[in-house]
Amino acid sequence: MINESSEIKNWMLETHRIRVQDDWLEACIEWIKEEQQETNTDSNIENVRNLVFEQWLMSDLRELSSQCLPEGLSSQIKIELNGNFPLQIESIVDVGTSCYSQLQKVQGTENANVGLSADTTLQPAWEPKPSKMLYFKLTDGTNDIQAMEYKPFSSLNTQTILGTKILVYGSVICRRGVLLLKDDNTHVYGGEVDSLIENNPPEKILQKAL
Amino acid sequence: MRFSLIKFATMVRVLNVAEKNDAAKCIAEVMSRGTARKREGYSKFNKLYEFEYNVFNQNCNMTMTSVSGHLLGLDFVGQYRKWYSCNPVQLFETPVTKICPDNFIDIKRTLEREVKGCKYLVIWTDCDREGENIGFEIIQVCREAKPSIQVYRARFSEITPQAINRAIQNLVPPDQNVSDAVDVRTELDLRIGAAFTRFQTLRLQKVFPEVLSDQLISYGSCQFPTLGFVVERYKQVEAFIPEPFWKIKVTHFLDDVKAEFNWKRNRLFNYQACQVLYEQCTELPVATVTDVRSKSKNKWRPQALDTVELEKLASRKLRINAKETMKIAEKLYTNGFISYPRTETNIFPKELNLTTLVEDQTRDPNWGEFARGILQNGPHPRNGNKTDNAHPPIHPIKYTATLQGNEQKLYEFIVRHFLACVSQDAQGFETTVDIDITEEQFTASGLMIIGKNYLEVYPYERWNAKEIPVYNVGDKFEPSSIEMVSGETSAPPLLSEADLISLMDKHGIGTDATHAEHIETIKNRSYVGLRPDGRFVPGHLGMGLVEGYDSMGYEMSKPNLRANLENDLKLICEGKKNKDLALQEQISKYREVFIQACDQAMKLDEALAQYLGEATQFTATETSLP
Ligand SMILES: [Mg+2]
Repeated sequence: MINESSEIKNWMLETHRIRVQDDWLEACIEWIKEEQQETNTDSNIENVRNLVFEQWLMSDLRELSSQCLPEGLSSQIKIELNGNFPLQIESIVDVGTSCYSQLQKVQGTENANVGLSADTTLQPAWEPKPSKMLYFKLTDGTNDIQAMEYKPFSSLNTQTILGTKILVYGSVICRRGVLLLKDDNTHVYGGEVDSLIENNPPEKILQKAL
Repeated sequence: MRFSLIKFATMVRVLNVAEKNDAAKCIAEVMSRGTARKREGYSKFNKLYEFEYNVFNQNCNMTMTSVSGHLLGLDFVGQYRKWYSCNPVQLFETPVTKICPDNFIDIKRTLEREVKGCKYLVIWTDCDREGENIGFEIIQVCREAKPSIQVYRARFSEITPQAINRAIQNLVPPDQNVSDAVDVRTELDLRIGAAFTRFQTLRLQKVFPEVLSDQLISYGSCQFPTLGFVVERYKQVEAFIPEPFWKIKVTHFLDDVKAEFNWKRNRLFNYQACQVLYEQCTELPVATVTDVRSKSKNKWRPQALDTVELEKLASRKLRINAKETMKIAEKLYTNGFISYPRTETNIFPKELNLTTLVEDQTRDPNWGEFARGILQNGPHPRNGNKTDNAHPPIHPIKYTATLQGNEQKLYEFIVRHFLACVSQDAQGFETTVDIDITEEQFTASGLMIIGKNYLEVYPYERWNAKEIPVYNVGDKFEPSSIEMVSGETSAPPLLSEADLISLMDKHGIGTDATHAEHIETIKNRSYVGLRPDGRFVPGHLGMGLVEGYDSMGYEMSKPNLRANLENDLKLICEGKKNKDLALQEQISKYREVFIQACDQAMKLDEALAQYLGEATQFTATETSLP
């Protein structure tokens, strides 16, 4: 049991660069075994460790009280981080577009008539074309941090499920508590957190922001 | 002497009828080369002009007279004209009849008297839907007086000797389909308008006796969607929530020339995000030029002018409203200065000789030289892609320097637009410079104007040159300033008249010929008001009515129902839909909506109470149906 647990712990670290707490891991393995006995499924180690990873994706890192970020990042004007930081997405907004127009999109109250003006050639459009920039609130389970889509992402967008786990890795600039994320320092694991999804419907987030 | 009397007696007589006295006078003048004799008829506003003309392969005695627009009006028969005569819902089926209103009886009498001695009747009304329908009214009156009369239609778009001559050499039968479409529209407008107007007026006068006791609260199937657009935009403006945003602006002076670089990210709605990027830039404020692109850039000359564009441009550029514009344009047309101003066509037909039209304008001290310039390369119109197969785009047909005031302004606009349209695009050369400051991208562009071309004659548009310093890829420089600036989003503007016409046009409300009237109606009813800056705001009554009907869910203030009707009218014109069928379908649709509206009339009271104060409980009495 101890052996299996430490083997899986290593596997999580080496394959996924995630450092999990022992007590959570042991409880998790125990629970998986019980489930497997009930359903008579093969409990070989490969199955178990995959299920552990799955459980980690679906968990709330705050409940795990995990921690990987250095303390006091928000008070630093600029710092370069190096390492692997598995983080959980707490909220996502597009700060390249006004909340009002995003809210209208979500509520389906957009109206093409509003964009119509007699003068299409001379006047600038009523509002300039927005350029997307995602802005995140993240947590490592203990420390909260913000992040911005410094270079356009392909893997994340405003529809991304809250509680999605990502890995921020390599060398990353952090200014005033904001991580500068780009495709080549950000990996998306997936996952979700039910309570975050329930408590933060997109409409509510946008309304709150206005 | 005796000889010519015999000749006169045996000469065939032709009755010609135009839509208005002015048109009759001008057409007669053109056809008779100024020799027409004027005679009085019963109506003192509609003269008779007589001359000889060779038509129907013989020299004929021509009598040219006119009506004053529609000669007949549609109304309910007898008793149903009275407001309390029936439950308004019955107005969807009570019989209707065409009658000649009292003020046009004299015109009718003239036609009846004149047609008696004639063998032929030629209809010279305007060549559009209404004109066709007026033609059939004239035919009806004349046939009743003389059943054997032979009827022809003259088709023309301008009152010039060529156009008029072409029209009379190519007389055609009048177009029943087009006239039918107008009959359908007229009947629907009468029934829908009367039913809703009586219903809402009678009810609301009782519910809000202090505010509305003497007010007519009219409803029209075009009026309401038009009002709806104004209310919709007003609400969008009201609902708008402004938000702050931030951006980074970079400027650079080089040899006294300034370049202003705009951020590729445009703007961010988060202070911290912007601050972080701003600090990135200012930490090492060195810009590297990453790209310099130059390309020729043209500014397009205006397209051939149709009615909707004329109304929009006159409203915006000349500050003459659509109704006034059409009134003036009509007069310019009747006097032979411009082509027919009600047209959906923005393609010049190949057979139109543009060169002579341009030549005619070379006399003008202001734009004559430009016109001469066009002649060197020949006119090259910038055409659009719409045609109504009836009239060419609006263009000048005769030079004049005799006009005053708004007539002069509009004529000048039409001439300048025409000359601009057949000249050349303005040509420029645009240089775009991209720079990078710590991985943030910025762009500046400059514009050199090489040829103003059409802009020389078209002061209604501007194109500003912008100088920027010369940069080369790889250049590094320290910007003169890097700033983080803030701003706030702003609501869309309220609708201008030009915007409103665009919306009506887009949603198929009314036709190019009627946009201006509907706008005028909602102004006259105080449903909307015009602010000093030329933008529409809804009045209390207008707001309440739209909200009331919207809350019923039938969207009577929305364009769909009416747009569907307009589409049916088009099909009737093209002979693709039977007029009786279309009429029945539309009547039953609107009747259904009407019944629903009556059932939920409380919602109208409630919506209006928000604006007009407390509602009095409505109780139906015998005299206050429904
Ligand atoms: Mg007309």
